[in-house]
Amino acid sequence: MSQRKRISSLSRVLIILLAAGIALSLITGPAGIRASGRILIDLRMPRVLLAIVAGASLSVSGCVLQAVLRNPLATPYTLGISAGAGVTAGVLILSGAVIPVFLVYLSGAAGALAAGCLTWFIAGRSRRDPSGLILAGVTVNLLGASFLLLIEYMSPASRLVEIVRWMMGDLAVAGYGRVLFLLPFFAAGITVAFMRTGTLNQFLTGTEMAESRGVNTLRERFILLLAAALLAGGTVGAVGPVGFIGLIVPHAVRRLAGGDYRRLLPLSALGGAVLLVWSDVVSRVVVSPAELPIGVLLSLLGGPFFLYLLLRRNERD
Amino acid sequence: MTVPPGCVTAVIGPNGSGKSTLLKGIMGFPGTVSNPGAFLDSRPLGTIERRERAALVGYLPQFPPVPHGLTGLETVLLGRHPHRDPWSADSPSDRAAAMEALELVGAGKLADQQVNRISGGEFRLVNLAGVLAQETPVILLDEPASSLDYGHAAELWEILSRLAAGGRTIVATTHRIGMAGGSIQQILLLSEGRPAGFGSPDSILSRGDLMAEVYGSGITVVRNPAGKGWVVCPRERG
Repeated sequence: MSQRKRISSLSRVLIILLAAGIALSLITGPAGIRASGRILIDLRMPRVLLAIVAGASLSVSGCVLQAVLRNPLATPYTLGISAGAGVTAGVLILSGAVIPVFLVYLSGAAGALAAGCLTWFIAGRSRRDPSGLILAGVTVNLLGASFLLLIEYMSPASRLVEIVRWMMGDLAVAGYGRVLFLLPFFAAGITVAFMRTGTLNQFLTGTEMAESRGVNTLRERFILLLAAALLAGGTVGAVGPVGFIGLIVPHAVRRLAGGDYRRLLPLSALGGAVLLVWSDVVSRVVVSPAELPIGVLLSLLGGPFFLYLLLRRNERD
Repeated sequence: MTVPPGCVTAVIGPNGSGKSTLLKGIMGFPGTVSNPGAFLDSRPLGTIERRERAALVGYLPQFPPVPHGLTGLETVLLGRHPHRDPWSADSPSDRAAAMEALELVGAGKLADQQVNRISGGEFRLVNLAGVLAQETPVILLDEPASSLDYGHAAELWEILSRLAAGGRTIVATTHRIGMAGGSIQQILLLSEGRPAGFGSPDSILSRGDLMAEVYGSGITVVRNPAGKGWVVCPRERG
């Protein structure tokens, strides 16, 4: 099958899957309750919208980072974003502060963005080199993880459960607050990334080649990392640190549709939305009448996915 | 040193003599010593805006990474970046320029192949086509013939010679000066970061003392018995 046909088939399949996922999501609940007007409008509709926006954000964020850091295993969390959000969420939960829910989301996003910025600044001169940024991200991740451990150690049992539960991610919503919170992050991040698809392609050929073709690599790397951090930071603030989407989706789309970011980015956005909407549906029915946290389900999918890739690679070699 | 249009200049010298650093310095890459002495038509290169410079000077690094997931043609099309918006699709003229460049280097058959599945030499040809598709009047090439077999290396220098005859200015570093045959008009010989000689191939390569001083006494340079240019051989010892 030619690449053009493959891309058009993939787009059609993803759109059908998204439509089917949305329909299923609207009629599926863990307790088997039939969707009445209020449940549909106030609970299930915002939930499916949140899954679409969050899935697309995480997927595009991962996709952008994989080009900018020139590493197929880079994820939104490579820059320490989840650790940063974990620390602020942990501190907030430990303090027991009663604050408006909007500020709770904002503190998670702020922690994530602060960690992303810290990664950029501690990388110093090494930020010209993707491996320098990755090293700085790993450092921030370790620092954040150790702070979070300390916070967890200091927390009473009830708060500890709350922190651990937050780390597992959550799409359960009442009303449109979370979606509205995430939308500005999504709009800003997606616009910046989509206007730079050609620049992202240039990053694939390395810093020198990109510079020789007129790309200000340092400035563009910063702008694109900021866009990725906005997408991931906003999402982590709204739904918690949900992993693997930014890794699985771009990887799968790249295999099917090739590596040109002008196709890869929109298809990854669509793929991320499909994966999170469907995962949400599964998470609501798999341990019914309870719900499996979305982060747990995605981790369960992520491991076998990479095992499959490894086995295929070994077979080919 | 002046490199006139329509001229191929080879930069030679031992490992670590500064050949690649010279090209990077001319490009003014971050992290290299900026070279206020590099001019293009009397304009200091450092003062030319990035995008404009990209339409004037093309550059092929020694070890560009393989862009996974791209085909040969898509990789060459990346060279069209200075001529379009960063989000726009490939126009028919972009595709025509890219295909023409691929055909010129004899790599048309690689257009639809994934570049992570082709050989190192083939990838070199694709990258060279990418630089040609950039359609710049000046082209800087860092070891363009490295990893090419003898046939392709000889062909490459012929292509460069033809491009220069069409008015382009070409500077290429190389370790295998013999493969260039009669394609080059000037040689810059570097030694320990400094110019040890600059002039026509005959004026540099005929000086056995200079070559021995730079490369050591283990080599000798003789006229190519089969045609134009010079050939570097190991010197018989004892």
